[in-house]
Amino acid sequence: MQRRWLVVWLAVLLALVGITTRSGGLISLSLPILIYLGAGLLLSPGRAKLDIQRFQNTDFEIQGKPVEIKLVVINQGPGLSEISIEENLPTGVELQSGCSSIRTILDAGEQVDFDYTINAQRGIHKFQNVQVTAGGPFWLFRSRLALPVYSQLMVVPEIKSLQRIPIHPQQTRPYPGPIRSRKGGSGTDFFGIREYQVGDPIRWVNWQAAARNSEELYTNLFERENIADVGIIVDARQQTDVRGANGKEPLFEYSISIAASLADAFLNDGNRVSLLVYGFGMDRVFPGYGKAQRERILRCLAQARTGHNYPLETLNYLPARLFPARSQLVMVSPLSRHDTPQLIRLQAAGYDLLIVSPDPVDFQARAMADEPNIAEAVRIANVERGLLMRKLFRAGIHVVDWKVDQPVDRALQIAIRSQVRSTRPVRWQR
Amino acid sequence: MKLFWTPKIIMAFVVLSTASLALAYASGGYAVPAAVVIVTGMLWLLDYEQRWNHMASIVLVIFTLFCVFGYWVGLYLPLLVLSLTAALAAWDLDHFSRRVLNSAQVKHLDRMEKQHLQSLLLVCGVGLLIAEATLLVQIQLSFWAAFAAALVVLFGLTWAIALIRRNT
Repeated sequence: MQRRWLVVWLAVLLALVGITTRSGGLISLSLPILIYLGAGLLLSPGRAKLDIQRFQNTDFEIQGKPVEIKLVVINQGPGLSEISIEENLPTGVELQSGCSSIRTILDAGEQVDFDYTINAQRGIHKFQNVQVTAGGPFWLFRSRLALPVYSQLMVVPEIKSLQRIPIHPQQTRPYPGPIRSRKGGSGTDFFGIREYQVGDPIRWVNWQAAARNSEELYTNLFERENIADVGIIVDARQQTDVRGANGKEPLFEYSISIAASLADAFLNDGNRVSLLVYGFGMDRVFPGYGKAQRERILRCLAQARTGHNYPLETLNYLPARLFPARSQLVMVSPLSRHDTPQLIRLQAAGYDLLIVSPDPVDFQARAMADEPNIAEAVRIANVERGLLMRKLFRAGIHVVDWKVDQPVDRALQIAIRSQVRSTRPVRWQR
Repeated sequence: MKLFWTPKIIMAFVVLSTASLALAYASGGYAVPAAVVIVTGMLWLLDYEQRWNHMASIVLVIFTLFCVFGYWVGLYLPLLVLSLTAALAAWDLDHFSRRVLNSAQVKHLDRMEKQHLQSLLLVCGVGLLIAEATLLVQIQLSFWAAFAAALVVLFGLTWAIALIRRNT
């Protein structure tokens, strides 16, 4: 029973029994309680007039970094003998230090402030109302109100610094960059020779070839190094997402983190990067360069979430035409065995496909280490995944099998180098 | 975050309430109820010390029933009024103390405590004085006057309850 009802019932019963039995003593007994109740009622505050402001040290922060928030409350009305102010933290935001609530006394015109530090998950977090409960001196009659104080915090995935990723798309942009363009021109790597033309620098003349042919001179050609179009595809389909222990820590978070790091690495090399989050819907960032593009991609990744969408259950409707023809595509996906035909078709369409695949088998095996017969299940799942990888590799697709507890940079470098050294299928040159 | 005066005053009020009620019963020749009152008061103190919960409200109800019973058996009424008022004050302070201790953060605690104690002591003091004063005044009411008074109280309480509901 609430406090005030206890007092009300005691006072009512004593007074009524006293009156009906015409017992002055009982009425006298009820008087202290009645006066206490009356004082509580009369001194209870009306609607509190408060001015609340929220200050954040940033509204754009990287995941894992703390955000400091300060609330300043000014009493614009009459004095409040007891007041409780509580900030309702949005879902996905947890208190790291300090307190998000306070109980205090506020005289007229007085100001009180309190600050706290939060740690937020990736996403957009909207802070809306501050709950205020003002009570009279005995906290019997309270007025509760939710004061709107809007602010927003965008938490973007953490970017890990990656080494340069060797990519070789069939088509590059006409601007100088770090990627070998498969075209002759000025560069550092030998590409071929052609007949000498007037104006060619003498130091580019291939004297050995000229010596074999007494009438002609030949000029060395070098492979031109340009920037490329890179399209990053993040697989956000619910059926490919697996979760760790207790259903928390989804593998998708690793996909988002690596997608952000890849975008950063490609943009740092001067490439034109675009993004597609495929799964629950199709969120897209159009191709662009530089820091502004990095922020656009991070904002898109911050809002990305997995979900179920029947038409997008398979990669059949992957809008490949959104990406420039014969460009580099980097897909971040745990992979499903039903995806193989679509991925091979994408590679055959002329795109150079690199798949970074967070290993769902290893991820879930660690989470379910205590389950019986887990070793056999993991072995079977690994065989199945190995076959899938081999099938993709035979189609000329680079696949990086990333165990999420290991550094992604190392996994990328090892996988790409080993696959480059291996026998590659003959590609039809257009 | 520590209350300075409140714990001491709670103890004082619990002791005062228990002692006055037990004294009223003992002086009327009711030793067993007096012992029960003392045990109940000690349980309240233990509850406050150990920070258990809900004991204060139960004890307030028990003390009120003891006061009513004491009135019916003709015990010394000023002691009963004193006991009930002290129990009410202790009950209020007990809740105030718990509210403060359960809060994550409290600012200007000393001011808040001081103001609460001032208000409570004033209200309880006035209540006690008026209640004790009414014991000295004897008014004979006819049935219809008592009936009218009961109606006024009923309407007043209905209005008060409606006001409470509207405010909350």
